[in-house]
Amino acid sequence: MSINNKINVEQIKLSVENLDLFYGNNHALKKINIQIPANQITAFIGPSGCGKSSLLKCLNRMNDLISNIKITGQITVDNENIYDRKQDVTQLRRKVGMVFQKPNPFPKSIFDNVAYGIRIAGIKDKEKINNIVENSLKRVGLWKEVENRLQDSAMSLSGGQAQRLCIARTIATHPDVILMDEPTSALDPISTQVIEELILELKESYTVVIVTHNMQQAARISDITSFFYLGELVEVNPTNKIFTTPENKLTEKYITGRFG
Amino acid sequence: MLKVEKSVLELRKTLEEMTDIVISIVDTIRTCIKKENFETLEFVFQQDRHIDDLEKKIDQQAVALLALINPMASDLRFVFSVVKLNSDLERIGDECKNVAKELKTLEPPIPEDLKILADKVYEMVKDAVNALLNQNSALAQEIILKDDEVDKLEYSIQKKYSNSIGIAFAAKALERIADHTTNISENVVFATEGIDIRHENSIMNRLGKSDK
Amino acid sequence: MVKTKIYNLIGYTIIGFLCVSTILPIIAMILFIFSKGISRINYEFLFTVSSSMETGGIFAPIYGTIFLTFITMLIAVPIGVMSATYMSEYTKKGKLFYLLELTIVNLAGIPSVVYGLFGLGIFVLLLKIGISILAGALTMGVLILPLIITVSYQSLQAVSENIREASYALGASRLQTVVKVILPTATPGILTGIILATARVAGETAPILFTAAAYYLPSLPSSVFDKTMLLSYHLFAISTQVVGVSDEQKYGVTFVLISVVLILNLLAILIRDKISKKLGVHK
Repeated sequence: MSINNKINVEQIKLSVENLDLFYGNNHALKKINIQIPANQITAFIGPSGCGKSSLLKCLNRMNDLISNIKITGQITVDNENIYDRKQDVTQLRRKVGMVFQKPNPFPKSIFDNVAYGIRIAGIKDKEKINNIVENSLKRVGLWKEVENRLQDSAMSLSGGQAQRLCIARTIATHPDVILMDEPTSALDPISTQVIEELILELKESYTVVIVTHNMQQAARISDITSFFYLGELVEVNPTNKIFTTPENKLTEKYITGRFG
Repeated sequence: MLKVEKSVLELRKTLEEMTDIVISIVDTIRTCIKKENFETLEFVFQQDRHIDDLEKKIDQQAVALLALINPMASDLRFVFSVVKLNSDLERIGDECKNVAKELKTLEPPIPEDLKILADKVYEMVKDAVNALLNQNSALAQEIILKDDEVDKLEYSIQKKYSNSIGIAFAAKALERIADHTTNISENVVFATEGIDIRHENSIMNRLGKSDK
Repeated sequence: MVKTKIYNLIGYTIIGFLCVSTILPIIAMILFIFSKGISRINYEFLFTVSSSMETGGIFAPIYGTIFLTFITMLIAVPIGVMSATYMSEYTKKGKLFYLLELTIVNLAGIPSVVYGLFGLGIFVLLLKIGISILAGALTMGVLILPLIITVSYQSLQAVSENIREASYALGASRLQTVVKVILPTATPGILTGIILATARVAGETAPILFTAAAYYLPSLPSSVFDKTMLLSYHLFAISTQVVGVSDEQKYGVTFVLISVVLILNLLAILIRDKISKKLGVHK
């Protein structure tokens, strides 16, 4: 257990500046400022409707799919404004991948699922695709379980396997950042543990941002925890600090379960 | 390796740093008494600061582990026992300082009884640390039994040398070190077997309870 | 407890009885036609082009029906599926969308004979295609479009939002998402629509009455611009217009017509199941 009470700000991967987000008249995120360091796991926690998922979806512009949304402020990935007009959204989403709450494999074969991202990116070389698929499946520890049935439908996988497949599918496109929206909330405890260990391994190569309802999960795996409440960022601190001596009274209340 | 295993391992590493120092200072005390040569006693005082820092570090790590990892069952008992025996280790350091202070007031020759006592206490500390790091409950139980011998020996020294405050105090401090090793041992038994053997009337009762 | 059991028993009995009463007529009808017509079925009846209406082989109408159905599908399926895709994936749910929806619902409610007259007016006369398989297929196409669109639209809408998100999150454009993920996923459902439409085309009489059907032809149609004999119209003709056709002949034709429809359905169901299995979706 490394004791770490200061955020290491040497290498900032993602930076959110003065972000406001409106769904119609609903002011869902208010003046958010947060910096997300590279190769660390940053967790967003807070009660339902606090805006944590909305913020996550801003980071790879998945919010673009929602109509009636207005976003002001700036988000930069590697110092490039992702809401810039010149920004190619498909490129951005390859760089900033996303794993969802429910395992959502395509109704295609296991192989085709992992190959999807690279194929649509225009890679046609069969050998290259094979290699990437194999490496991605190995990276998530799924290769041994599926190597003999790559052509089977991905729908035949268990929930935990399907979620690892989704992670493999995301890393196949070589992202820098992986966003995770409650990635284990639909899984049983054992699968959850497997995914958590996987996330811990992933941080060596990727910057991970995870939204979770499960405070213990944030505690177990994240380096930095940010607490959101009613669309505001209440506190960002190293996870150890947040869970032992939070600075803000609201954070303390939430973490000790004395909310509301 | 699981995150909980990694974190417990890190805690163990800090703990080992601590026990290494504790053994080395108890060893210094023993050698000084045996050789009736107090030149190296300064080492005991030098290490004090170090031990204090490590005590804090162990507590911080343990709290973080409890807060973030939520260890369960054997992991939980281990962390809990470490929190408790941590202060015993630090107190052993303090008692060593007390012995050293008293020794400085003494002139050789040192009574044979005190040498035996120092030897016994050193063995107990070594065994307790051994039991702790290997989570060896049987060894921990042996140490608890040995505590009576030390008590008797110390009592006889107190009687024999009631005129020499230095010797009496040193003996008393050594006896306290033995008490701390008993506490450590009790915690080892708790960590390994989950049985609380404190505050039982007789030693046999205590160990009888720990007989599964 | 006993009371509950009795109620249960009564309930199940009623439901069972109702179930049987829906299946029974179909089975009875098939059995009836089968028993009356089977004796007429032989190689010569099925695979020769007859020189007379009253007796002889009915290969010409069988061939015509399959030909027309095939051309109809060729026209209607792409248009229908693309319309459904547009409605489901591209247009926002605004005024245009509701207008489209309304149009489709209304189209579905129009009597089939009106389609026939419409086909005659537009395709045969105005566009000067003449009475031909093409004109018939276009007319039939219009008739089944609402069915294909509605069913396809529903199966596209049934594709989980999660899958769309997953595709976009991997950097796919909208077109890539539609072509590579959404349409393949909706395929079993779309095929169901096509199955229904196929059966409808093979069996409909009124729309081809004025647009494609020939009363009698001694030879097979050689292109889409030819008239053709069709099973449904042939059956209509020999049952009502021609004197001296044996009952056996009529039932034989009926049997073949039903068989063609059933075989087309079966084929489509098999294809759909195979695709479903491959996708791992159970329908």
